[in-house]
Formats: sequence, structure tokens, C-alpha cells
Amino acid sequence: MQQTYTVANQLGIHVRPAKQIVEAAKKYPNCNIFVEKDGKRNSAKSLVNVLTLGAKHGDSVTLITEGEQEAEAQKEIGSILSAAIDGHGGN
Amino acid sequence: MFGKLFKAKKDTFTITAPITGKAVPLTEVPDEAFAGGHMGRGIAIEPSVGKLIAPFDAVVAHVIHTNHAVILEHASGLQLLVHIGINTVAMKGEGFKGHVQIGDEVKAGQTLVEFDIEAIRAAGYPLITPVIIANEEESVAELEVLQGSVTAGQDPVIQAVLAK
Repeated sequence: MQQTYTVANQLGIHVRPAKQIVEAAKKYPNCNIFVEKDGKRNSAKSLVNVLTLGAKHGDSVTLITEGEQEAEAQKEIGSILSAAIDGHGGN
Repeated sequence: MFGKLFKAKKDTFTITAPITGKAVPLTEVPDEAFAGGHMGRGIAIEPSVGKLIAPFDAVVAHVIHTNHAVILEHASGLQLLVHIGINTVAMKGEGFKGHVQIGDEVKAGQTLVEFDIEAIRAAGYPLITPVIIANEEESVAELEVLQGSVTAGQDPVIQAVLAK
């Protein structure tokens, strides 16, 4: 399944949210998870791959989840992609 | 004891300091994501010189467009993330001068980023710079970190036993 999200974080998907996406994606070992922007599709389970997507504030990013628990993965990672601020610690 | 000897036969990869300063445990980083190890294992350097160099021959896997963070990939597949300062993403590149682009092949000792220590301090951001393995699960079997005063390109900060 796939869904497109708008990056709300003013700073884009920088190192911290990118790592959150990777950590969340790794919770679903039997689900293939990709992030896609402007036709470029990268694995969501590698920090470098998520960062090289270069998603900035306002960009549309499509999240593709295929496999076990794809709906749960979609929900969890989608909420990070569309979060206005980094998801923890009040940073 | 013997275990150690046998393990020593595996490939040990020594990473020297990419920045001159003082190497301290990651737990001293005033950011829960780094201090708690959620970003990966490694060490932090309190910089005394505003220059980031490549600690080994590598490909630049990523440079954040604001030049405050770089990921280098070694031929073994190990990826090293250096994140200059904390929350410095908010400086939007000001005070950071990048010298490399994504995909560049760099040599050990080559300057990657120059940064203005005074400007970062004046903006109110901690300078402490986490140096971490970005893909430990895939690349590293064991990891040891070394603390103390370090000179970029000379003193080791991380010793990793490579997974492959």
C-alpha cells in the first residue's frame, strides 16, 4: 500500500527525523518499506538512503509499504513524515 | 584472554578523529537521540578547531544541504556520520562551508567542512559533535571508543571489528 505525505517539518527530513524513520521501519522486518520523491525510490531502512532523498519542508513524499503489518508500518512512519516537529524530547 | 587473541585476527578498522578537540562519551551530548544511542554508537568530540576532515579514504554518501552533517562510506561498507554541533540544522548553513558533494571520492585527511566555532557558539548551539557508525548492524561486529585530547587525522577515536 502507499500514501503520499507532505513534509511539515520546517527543517525537512534532516538527520534526526530520518533516523526516526529508519528505526520505525526496522521494526517491520518482513515488510518492504520505501520512501519516494520525484521518482526516486529509496529503502526506508537505511539512514543514508532516507537522507539522500533530500526531502524539504513542503515536499511530497510517498511511503510504500509491502508485506507483513504494512498498514501498521504505514501509520507509524507516515506520522513521522508528516510531523511538524521532530517526534521526541521537545527538540 | 584467548578469545581476544582469536578475535584480533578479524579485520580491525581504526578510525582517527575527524576533528581536533576532546573526545568524550556520547552520553555527554545534550541531546537524548545521540546520548541515548538512538542514532548509533560512537563518540563525541568537543571541537577546538573548526575543520572536519575525512578520517579514511571514502565516498561521500551524504552531505546535508546545510553542510552541518556528513556521512562517509568506507570501502568495507561502514558508514560514518559526523554531525557538527547540536540542533545546528536550525542555522540553515550559516557558519558552515562545505568542500565536498555527495558522491565525491575523498582521501584521508581531506577537508570536508569548515565551520565557524564562534558563530555557532554565538548562535547558542552546543558545538559537541557526535561521530557515529550509521549502519552498525550491517557493518560492525564489535566497537570500542577512545577518549581524550585528539588531533584530527592522528589519534584514534573508534576501533571497529568489521562484520565482513
